[in-house]
Amino acid sequence: MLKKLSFRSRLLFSFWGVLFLALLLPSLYYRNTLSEDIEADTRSQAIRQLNLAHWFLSRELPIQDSPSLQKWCERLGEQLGTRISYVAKDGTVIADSKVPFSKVPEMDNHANRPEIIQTSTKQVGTSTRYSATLGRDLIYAARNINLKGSIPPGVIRVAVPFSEVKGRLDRLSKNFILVILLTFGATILISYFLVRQLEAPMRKMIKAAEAIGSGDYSKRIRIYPGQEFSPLAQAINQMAESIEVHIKTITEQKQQLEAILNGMSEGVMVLDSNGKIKTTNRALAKIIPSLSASVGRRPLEVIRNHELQQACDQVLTGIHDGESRPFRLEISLDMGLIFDVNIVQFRDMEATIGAIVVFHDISELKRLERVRQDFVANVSHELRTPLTSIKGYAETLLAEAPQDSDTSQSFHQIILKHADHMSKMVDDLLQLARLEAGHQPPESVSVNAAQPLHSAWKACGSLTKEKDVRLEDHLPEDGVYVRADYEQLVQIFRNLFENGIKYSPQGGTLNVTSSLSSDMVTFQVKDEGPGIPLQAQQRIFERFYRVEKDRANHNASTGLGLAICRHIIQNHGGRIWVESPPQGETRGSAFFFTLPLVRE
Amino acid sequence: MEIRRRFSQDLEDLKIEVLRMGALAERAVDKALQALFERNSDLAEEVIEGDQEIDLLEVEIDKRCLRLLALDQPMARDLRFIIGCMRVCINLERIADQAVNIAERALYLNQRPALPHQPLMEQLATISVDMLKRATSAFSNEETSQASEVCQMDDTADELNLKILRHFIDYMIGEVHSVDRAVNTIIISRCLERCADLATNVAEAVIFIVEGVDIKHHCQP
Repeated sequence: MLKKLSFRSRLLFSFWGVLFLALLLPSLYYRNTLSEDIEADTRSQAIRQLNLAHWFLSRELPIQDSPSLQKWCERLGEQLGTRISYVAKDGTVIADSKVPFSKVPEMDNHANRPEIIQTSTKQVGTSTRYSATLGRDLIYAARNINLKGSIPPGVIRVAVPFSEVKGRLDRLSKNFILVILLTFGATILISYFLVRQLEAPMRKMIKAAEAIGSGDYSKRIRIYPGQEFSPLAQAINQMAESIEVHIKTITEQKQQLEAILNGMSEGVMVLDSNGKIKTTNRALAKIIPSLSASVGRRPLEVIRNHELQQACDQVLTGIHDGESRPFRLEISLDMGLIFDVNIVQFRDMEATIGAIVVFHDISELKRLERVRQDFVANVSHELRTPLTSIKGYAETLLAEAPQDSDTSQSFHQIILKHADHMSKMVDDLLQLARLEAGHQPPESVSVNAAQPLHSAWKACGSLTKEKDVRLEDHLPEDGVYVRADYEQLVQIFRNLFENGIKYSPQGGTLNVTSSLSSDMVTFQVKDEGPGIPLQAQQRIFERFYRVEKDRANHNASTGLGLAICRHIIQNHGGRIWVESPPQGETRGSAFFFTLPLVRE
Repeated sequence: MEIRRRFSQDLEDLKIEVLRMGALAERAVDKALQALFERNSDLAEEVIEGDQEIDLLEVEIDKRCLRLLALDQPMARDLRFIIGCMRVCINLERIADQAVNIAERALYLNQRPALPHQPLMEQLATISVDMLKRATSAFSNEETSQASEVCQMDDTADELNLKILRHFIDYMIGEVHSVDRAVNTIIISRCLERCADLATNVAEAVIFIVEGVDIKHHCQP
């Protein structure tokens, strides 16, 4: 119970306890002995006076009757300052110094008074009591006496006032209680100040400890209330110091880990034993934009791929022993992203199982692999087709040369046409190889784009006549100047025009426009053809790539035009892309490319 | 407390199962469209075979929902979540069926010469797939804004479907020999439009779960 009290009240109560024991008990004791001593003293005084009165009466005085006894009593009483009475054996009062003689016979019978009763057995009887006659406390002493004359044998009694002494004693104890109360009050003050003195440094100590508790580990306790508190203060200081060191190490380790995790190009995801995401690194957030606020959710809620979820579940439930060898799977996400995913099981300190999922982006690898495979397949196909024709016609000519010269002439022309096609293809391939290697830095001069555009259109002359396609040139009349190689620019326009004309309907138009941005010019070549399927739009710039259905109606093109365009434009620092159908239209396609602008 | 914990774990598992079904349905539609546009009959076969897994999953989810309803007597949001999951799951199963329909049409079309490239079909395919993805993502994140976007996109899908229908009717008048292919393409367009409708239903179920209001058939909360 004491423990629940505040320090101040505990101190106060202890003070009071000590004071109580030290002051009140001895004072009570002294008060008792003192009053006993005073009473005994008064009693012996009463007895002495009684003996004196007895001696006077029995020896010296010739008292014969009651009136003279009364007078004597009055005189002696006055001299001694006491009350003297004479009581007959039967209890009748015969004389009393404090009562007039005429009133004496009216007084009570005194036979039952304790001091009178005592005289029958002892020589002197005493008693202390309140006297109704005098209205105060008195000590009575009585003694037997035999007088001569008409006075019957009786008892002489002396009454000494006691209350004077008692009054003094009462005053004394009243003062005493006052003193005690004052000291109690003083102790309240003293304990208040003592505790206050203790409280201020204590409060500082508490504040410091609280600050340490709430994370300010650099706080130390320097002021403490007393020597007794120094071990506590030291212990707290030491604790704070070791916490500071630990926190620092942990933070450093965490930062290191985070830096490693975020520095990785692979996406990393850590799962807890419930299969919920604990942390992810920055690379993963870049890969999967919907990853924000993924912590505490299951992988399937973030990455919509059920195989991944299944694999994680298998590793976590232990169906697949993921600790010794990682679980590997390949997943493909939206936008053609392909990941090689490794899932490794781990156990943390409480031995619960978690899993680390590592995403390795292999989309580019896969794409290149596909491009390479397609290239090999396509190049052999593209070369074999004319080769087969050449071989077939040459064999025919050798085996049995046609009689009429027209037929053999046309055979030779077919052979020549296919050989031309092949040599063009080889030329294109070589040019592409040179462009790719970057050996030929473009000879960049300021060129008005209108000139190469028109020479390219002229070069397509035969095709345009065949299809009756018109060119709509919307370039600004005062020219658009770009930094480019003249010949290469002609080639870009020519390749784009050839494609455009080839897919245009009979009597269609090709539309060329340009728009300026801060330092680039964007050219647009738009046709009214059937357009390009969405899946193919990314791939038409690959070498030999053909939209599937085009392969049937083989146009006399090498399949390298757009690849060459892309490389030339990239070497000039621009880019090329396609929109099909163009914005705001339902058919056709528009090729865009950018080139660096020259400002006059 | 323990019962409550188990119940919320059950709800979480239910969500994962529905999301699994969503991922499978998305995959089925994607593959069916790839089979159509890239003329890849193998993918179409895969879609037709894979439908069984989705059907089984639907039965499984239905059972889970009924058990949760019967044993735990859920209230308020939990109740809506379970009911919503049942709705989502029914619609996802139908979407997977539409994917099978598309795959079957693609199998037929791939055997015939290709029709001229039609960008409207691609647009419709893109928007339907996008709606489905948004709907499942809205379900996953329990996000109503994404769900109402899906509801609003449905009009565009309907419009595209009509345009395609008109285009192919015109086309058939000119090219009698390709009527069969055009009809099949119209069926595919119709399937995609249905996919979009069903994705809208999924989105409506998400709004029902999160906000407790039923916006069926009028697209406004």
